This record gives sequence, C-alpha cells and structure tokens, in this order.
Amino acid sequence: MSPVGRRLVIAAGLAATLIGAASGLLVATRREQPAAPVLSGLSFQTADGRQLPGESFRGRFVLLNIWATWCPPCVKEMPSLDRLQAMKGSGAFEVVALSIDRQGLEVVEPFFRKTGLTSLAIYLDREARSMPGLRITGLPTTLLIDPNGREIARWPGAREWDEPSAVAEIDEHISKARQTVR
Amino acid sequence: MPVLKWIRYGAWAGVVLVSFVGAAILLGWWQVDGPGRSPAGRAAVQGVPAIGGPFTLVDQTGRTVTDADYRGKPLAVFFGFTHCPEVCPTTLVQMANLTGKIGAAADPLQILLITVDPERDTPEQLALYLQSFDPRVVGLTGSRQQVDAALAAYKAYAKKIPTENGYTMDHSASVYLMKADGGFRTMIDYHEDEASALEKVRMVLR
Repeated sequence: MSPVGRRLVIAAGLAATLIGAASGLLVATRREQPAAPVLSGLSFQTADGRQLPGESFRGRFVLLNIWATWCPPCVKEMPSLDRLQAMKGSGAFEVVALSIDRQGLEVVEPFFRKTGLTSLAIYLDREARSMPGLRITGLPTTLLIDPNGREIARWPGAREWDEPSAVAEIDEHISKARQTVR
Repeated sequence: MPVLKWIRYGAWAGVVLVSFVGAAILLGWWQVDGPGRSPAGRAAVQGVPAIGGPFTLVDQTGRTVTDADYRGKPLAVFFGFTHCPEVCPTTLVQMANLTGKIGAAADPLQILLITVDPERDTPEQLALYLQSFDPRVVGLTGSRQQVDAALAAYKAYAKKIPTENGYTMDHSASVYLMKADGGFRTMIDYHEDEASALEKVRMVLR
C-alpha cells in the first residue's frame, strides 16, 4: 500500500472513531440525565389556608391528580380517587388531588361536601402553577411520584382509580421504583 | 494484500459519503436560507398568512358581536368547548397564567373563546363556564354556520367525534394572537413552553 493510501486509511479510521465516540457520548448523556424532582417550586394550599411546599410530600409515593370543578371528566373520577385513598392511603402512599380552580376553596369545599368525598384532603393551586410546572396540557392528568419527588408514571385523562386493573398498575410502578431506588 | 485493499476502498467510500452529505447540506442551505433562495420562498418566510377575518357571533350575554367590535384591541383568539368528556382543554387556564404574569400591561388584551360546539354551548352555558376563569374572557357562540365561518376565517378546524355516551370535539388548539388593527401577528402552539408564549403575548401588546 502506498504511504498516501495508508495515511488516508488512518485518517478515515480516526474520523470514524471520533464520530462514534461523539455520538456515543451524546446518547450516554441523554440517558443518564436524571428526572428532576417535579414538585419543587410548586405550592399546595390546604383547606385551612396553609401553603405546603412540594418538598413536604417527599418520603412517600404520591398519586398527584390535577383537576378542576369545571372539568366534567375530573369531577367524574373524583369519587374513585377518594375510594383509592381510603383503600391505600398510608404514610407511604397518598392520593393528592390538586385543584386548579381560580375560586379555590369557595368552589372546591362545596364540591367535596356535595360529592361526599371524605378520604381525600383539599389541596389548592389557584394560580394553576402546576400546569406549566408539570407540563400539563389537559385535565385531568395524574402523575405517580416516587419518594424522591421524581415522576415515575403519568396518565392523561380520567379513569376509575379503584378498579383492580388501575390499582395493579400503580402497585407495579411502585414495586419497580422500589427496586431501582435500592 | 487484499485486506488493505478493501480497507482502502472502504476509506474512499467514506470520503465520498462525507463529501456527498456535506455538499447536500450546503446545497440545501443555499436553496432554502442562503443566497439561492427564490423570491417566492422569501415572501413565504416574511409574509403574513391571511389568518383571521370577519365573523358574526353571539357573546355569553346574548349580544351579537362582530370582529369589528374588537378593532383597536389586540386579541387572543382560540377555539374550544365546555363539555369535555375525557380530557378538558386548559387553554383558558394557560392564558390566565400568561396575562397574570404580564400584569396590568396585559389589560388591553381581549381573550376570545369561540366554541366549536354551539349546539351545547349556548350563551347561558358559556356564561356559567366562564365564571371559573378570568372575568375579562369573552365566550362566543352562534349558529353552526356562524361558527363554521369563524373557523374558516381562522383556518382552523373542528370535528365531532362520537364517544360512548355522546360526543367530543376535536379542534385546533392554537391561540391566535391578533394585532389591534385585526391583522394576524402570530400563534401560540398547544405545547409551547411558557417563556416563548409569554414573549409572544408581550409582542402583540406592543
């Protein structure tokens, strides 16, 4: 082989290696990017007027449901969320239904009373900061958040949350997350 | 040495491939953005599409309004409906977020929700629904023909989709930002991030 040919081969090999390494690096950094804690920066107002920072939900799994009284499918699934909280709510798991109604307690409290919701707590986000914060584009949207505050699942749209299949799906996400955390 | 020979061929093939891709990118840039762009292409990039136009509709108080009633005010126009069966559109909430962030400077902006479901969204239903939002939002409905004319003026679409217990509406979800003179300025995409949406609203307010 001529010296020119050899040099070409070496140059081509070098270029291929460089391109390979660069793309590998790109793929790797994209994969390793950890999900940011989704609740930081969000604020949850309680029925008695306290502002809970998103961090106060750390340490347990949270099924976070974003809803509003003006949203018919949200209204429809609320009783099933209430039953799910009654069934599974504990120090390790909480169903958090966050209302983005602008009128806040004024409309949410009568709705809770009328619908007979007793297990869920009232949480308000009157400025709907959870919408851009969680990149939500439709209601209802429900997120499963792990004890480190990271989103592990998301369901847009309504469902019957206490149906066996829905409960099983949540349990599966939780046990999978427990394995990877350890 | 057949192995080296093949390596050499491979290397040359690589060189050819790289130069071809490079040339294609250069040519593409030249034609689309570079000096080789056609006059028609330039107009398409710089020109303003003909979005918006005359409409006659009924607001949530039952009053008949036309586009001329809003001349002199920048507008944020979008299409929606109140009977969401599975997922509720949240454009109203997002608009309230944006105007809230801008503050008093956003006061001149008139937000118009045009229903795509006039059969169910009567003025009374719109009034009831809009109580939950910014009081400055005007809800517009009308006859099917009036709504279709407004949809056509904005180059938007809406389609009835049957569901288990009734129907839902599939519709354009963008927000049209119109200048005070009635001309189209820009639009906010449904999934657009907040920072760029804010900038667009500020732009139409200037």
